Amino acid sequence: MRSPKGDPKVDARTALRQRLGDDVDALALLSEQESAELLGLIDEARAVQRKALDASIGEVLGRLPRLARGPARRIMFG
Amino acid sequence: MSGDLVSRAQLVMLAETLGVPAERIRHLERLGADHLRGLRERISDQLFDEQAAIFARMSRLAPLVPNGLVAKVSQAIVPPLVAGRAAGALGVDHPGRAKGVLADLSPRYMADCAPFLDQRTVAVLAPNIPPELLIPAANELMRRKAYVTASWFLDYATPEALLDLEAGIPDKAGLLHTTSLVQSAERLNQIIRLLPTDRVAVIVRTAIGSPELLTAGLSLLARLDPELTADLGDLLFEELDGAGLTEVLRTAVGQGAVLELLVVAASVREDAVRRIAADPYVTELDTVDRFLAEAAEHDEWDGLSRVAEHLPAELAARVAEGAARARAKAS
Repeated sequence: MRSPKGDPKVDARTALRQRLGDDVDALALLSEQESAELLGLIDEARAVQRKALDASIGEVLGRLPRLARGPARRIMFG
Repeated sequence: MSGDLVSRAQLVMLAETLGVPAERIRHLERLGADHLRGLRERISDQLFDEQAAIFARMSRLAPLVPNGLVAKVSQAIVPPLVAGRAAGALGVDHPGRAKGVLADLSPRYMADCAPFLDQRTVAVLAPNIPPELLIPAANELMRRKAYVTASWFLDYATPEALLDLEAGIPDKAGLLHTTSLVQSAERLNQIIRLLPTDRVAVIVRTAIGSPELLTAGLSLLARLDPELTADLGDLLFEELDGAGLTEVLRTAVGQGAVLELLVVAASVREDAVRRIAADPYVTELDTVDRFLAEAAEHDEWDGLSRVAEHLPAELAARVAEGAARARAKAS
């Protein structure tokens, strides 16, 4: 089984260990399939979080007082 | 079962961190509470750390936006996932403003955001947040029966905040559910020792209210230090008349909480043990065999041995033989 993302030569258990760290004891108890599923769920959570953050930042900037919008955009987007 | 309850709570928290229904990862429950917590904490840390740069930029926006506007805009358009994620970083950078913003947020919104907070920042911020700002949100969590989320905050609450929260939450059954889900037994003991005995007694006595509460109550009692188990277990048993005791014992078996019952029986005073042993349900052969099977499975014999001392001779002999067989098999 391959990891859902990343180096296809690395199996999912190794990929998960590389992602979360060797010191998470639970990882040793996960099967290859469980590791692959968990990697997939973490990737999905990251994507959902990123999308929600981006959407919220745009919405929030639009609601700021007019005078603050310019400086706020520069802070957020450089 | 106590382990199961706590593991289940940790599983729900992991599912919330991943944004999936608990059923989707139900197979991971076998990892147990400690492993699930370690896994959840690391995933949660990474999800936060990946967005650290964005949170840092959001934090620099803070001087441009007054507290009232932060609260108003957040509740209007920022989903709880984002607000919860960002709140910790912003709160740590601007600790003086956290109180002001929280004061303007509705308890419902705070309860919505609660599962998404960064545990590391909660630990830093919690001591500086006046409990009166958190109590309405805590009561909202109780109303929703969101005990898993609520239990998380017990890990970080200061002694003063714990006392204020207990006093400010009228739903004592909800508090029993919540307290029973605290993952660390050490922390659980600290919490129980901190609260005045008469208040803990009110909470523990709610255990006889329903099968789920009884399971939570036995789970909590079984994870306490023996002298606390004895004191609170006696309080619980004193509440029960004969029929009530039978119902509790029947429920413990029905809910899969026999192990907890046996652990409690190992610590309560002699009078309670005699009453358990004399109960007509316990003196049924099937019940004794069920107790034997649980004791053997978990190698937990003290409670059953105490009960057996007061059982009719033939049942006591059955327990002794069963225990000897299980121990021989184990060695």
